[in-house]
Amino acid sequence: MRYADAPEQQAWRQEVRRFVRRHVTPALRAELRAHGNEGEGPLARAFHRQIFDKGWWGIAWPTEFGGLGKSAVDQYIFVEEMEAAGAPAMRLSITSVAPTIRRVGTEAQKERWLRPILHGEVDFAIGYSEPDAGTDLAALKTRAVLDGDEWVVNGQKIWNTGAHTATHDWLAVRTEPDVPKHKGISLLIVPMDRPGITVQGLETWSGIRTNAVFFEDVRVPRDYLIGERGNGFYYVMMALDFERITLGSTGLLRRLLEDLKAFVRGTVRDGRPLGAVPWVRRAIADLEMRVEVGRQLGLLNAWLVDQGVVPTKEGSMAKVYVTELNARLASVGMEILGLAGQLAPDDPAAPLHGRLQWLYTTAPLQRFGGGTNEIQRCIIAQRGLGLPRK
Amino acid sequence: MDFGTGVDQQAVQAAARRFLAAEITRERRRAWETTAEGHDAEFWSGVAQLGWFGYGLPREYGGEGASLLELGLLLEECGRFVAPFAIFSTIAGGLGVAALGTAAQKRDWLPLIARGDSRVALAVAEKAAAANPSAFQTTVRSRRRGFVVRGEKRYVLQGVAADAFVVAARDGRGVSALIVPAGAPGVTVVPARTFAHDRQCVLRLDDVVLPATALAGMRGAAWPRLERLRRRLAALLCAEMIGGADAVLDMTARYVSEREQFGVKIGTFQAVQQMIAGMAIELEGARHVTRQALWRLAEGLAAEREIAIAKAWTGRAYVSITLAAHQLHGGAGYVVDHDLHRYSARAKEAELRFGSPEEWLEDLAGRLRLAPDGRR
Repeated sequence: MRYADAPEQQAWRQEVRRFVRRHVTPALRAELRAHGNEGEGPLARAFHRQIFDKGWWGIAWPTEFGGLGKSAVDQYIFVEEMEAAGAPAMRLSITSVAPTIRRVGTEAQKERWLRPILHGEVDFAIGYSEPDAGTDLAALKTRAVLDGDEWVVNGQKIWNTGAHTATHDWLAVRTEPDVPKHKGISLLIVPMDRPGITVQGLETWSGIRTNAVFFEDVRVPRDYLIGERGNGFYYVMMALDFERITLGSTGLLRRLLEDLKAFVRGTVRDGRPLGAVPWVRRAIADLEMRVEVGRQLGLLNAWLVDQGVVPTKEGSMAKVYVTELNARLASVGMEILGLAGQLAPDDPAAPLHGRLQWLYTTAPLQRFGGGTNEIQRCIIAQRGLGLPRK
Repeated sequence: MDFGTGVDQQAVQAAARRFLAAEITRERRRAWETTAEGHDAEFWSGVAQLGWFGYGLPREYGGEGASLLELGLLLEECGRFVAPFAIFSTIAGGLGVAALGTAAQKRDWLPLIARGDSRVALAVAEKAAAANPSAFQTTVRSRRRGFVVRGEKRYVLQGVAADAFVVAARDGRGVSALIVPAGAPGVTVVPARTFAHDRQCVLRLDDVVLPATALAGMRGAAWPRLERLRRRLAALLCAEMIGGADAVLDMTARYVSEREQFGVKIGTFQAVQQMIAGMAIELEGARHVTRQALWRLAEGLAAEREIAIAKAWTGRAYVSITLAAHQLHGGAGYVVDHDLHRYSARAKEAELRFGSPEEWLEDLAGRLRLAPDGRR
């Protein structure tokens, strides 16, 4: 048992911290805030390049695929430090798609896709949901039919965030129409530059752009179907499990809480230091406790991955806990900021660059996205504690 | 990071679990209810033979020198079976003598405690004071070559069965700790009735005359060590709580997986699954903030922040888990024949002892230096 970084983890953390301290500049953070998810600006692109040159995007990847072969805990530490510095997030291509290809793809597919993902040449949008298939994903209708050596895709995806900037779509499609709904789905990679694809932007409350994507007789090579036909639903679940490993990071919350504490220390309201107001003190201490609990849940999850376990229960726990805490920290934090809490990120007077207000509007997405928290709780109860399904 | 328990630690836990599962039968628990101590002599000597009372005491005084982390793992098992709280109290008393006592006092008491032949109870809280020593009404003053102690202590764990008490008394501007034999003239023990039936008492000290050797440590300087002891015991109590919460979650998951209504297992209902998942998350968080605090203590690292977090979170979590369990068990868990109420009452008492969640949050806020002039 050891509830602290091991010496080599400590050294790794210091190395990441030194790097981000130097390279995550206020200018880069401002650019990230201004761009949202409308593609990378020049500073973000340069930053990505530097991380790539250090091999850090592939921290937990095996060395044979260009990774550093480090542990999931090392990756957690990396994400924690990156988030704490306000650096760009790790792409889902790296944290979710690539590990799935590594597990279920053919040797040729691993050769074809993994290095380009790591190099940032291939970047995926995730195309699971459809207008009538959200939480009940297995109800999806987008079809792919084999015609000679090509799949022909027809249908519609929604909430396909990143489809307007990605090079490829990681698409769940129905390939076997005559079998039970969970067993008829496959995973298909679709290059976004193929004819027949229409991307329609959808604006959301938080300012994050997402998309409806239409596929009309879109043709992709036969071997772009990943793994085995008809196993796609299980691959999606696997990809979501991988996604939750990094979702459980509390680095961002830690940073916002530290910024909030600094605000409290430096603020006098109605003639009284905010840090001497009992409800403010209690609220901050409560958040301090909750962020620490979340950190333990996230680390536990990463540690279990290193033990060779697929932490379904713990992954869902970390996802539910941390995303609920996002909402709480944003809401309580804005209350502490007082009337200034409502100022938007682009108002120069906004405390914390309006980040709490930004978190307040993105928190709903995190709670219902990536598998709703209600479904996660059912997973915890059924798969973690053996409650009956029927 | 390493969240795993070692082979030795698992062996200690497994042995404890086997012993408690075999010894604590329904009939025996019923019989214990009518005793003054809350257990019987045979059970007590069984625990003593396993070496639990001396497990965390220094080797030079007949103990095994286990760390607080290892002691915590053992106490998790006690919590799992809602074992008589006298075990925790006796271990706490031993740690109290080890932390505060003079070499002679340790020689006198610790080997006896380790063997299960003696018990020392901690007597700190009063009717109107728990954490602020200047509010203590119990006082000590010099008389000839010794002392006279006067006052009243409350919420003394296992006071009825104690052979002596570690008493905190106001001494001029400071606080002194004294070891007061239960048989000294002027000492009266009045049982208190608590809803977890854990045999607490009121300790009356009517001008109790003590020799100079009764003083534990330096005169007027005991408070920092009492506070340090309270922090350690708070962390240890968290370990007991997570064991109990684990058992409650386990019994509740099993119950809802078997109980049928409307022709289906109630565990298939999403409302039930949401509650179970909430309990599981609270517990998993509690387990690791608690073990983190104990691990840091065992390693000799600063642990004040982690203890405050552990006690605040775990106190809340155990209470909330037992209340959810009542809701999910319905009447089946409400009858006294069912063990659930034992966990529920223990949970609420543990939440209050050694500082409540709100008090620990205020302690934590104080460590975050939020006010510019250090004002709390």
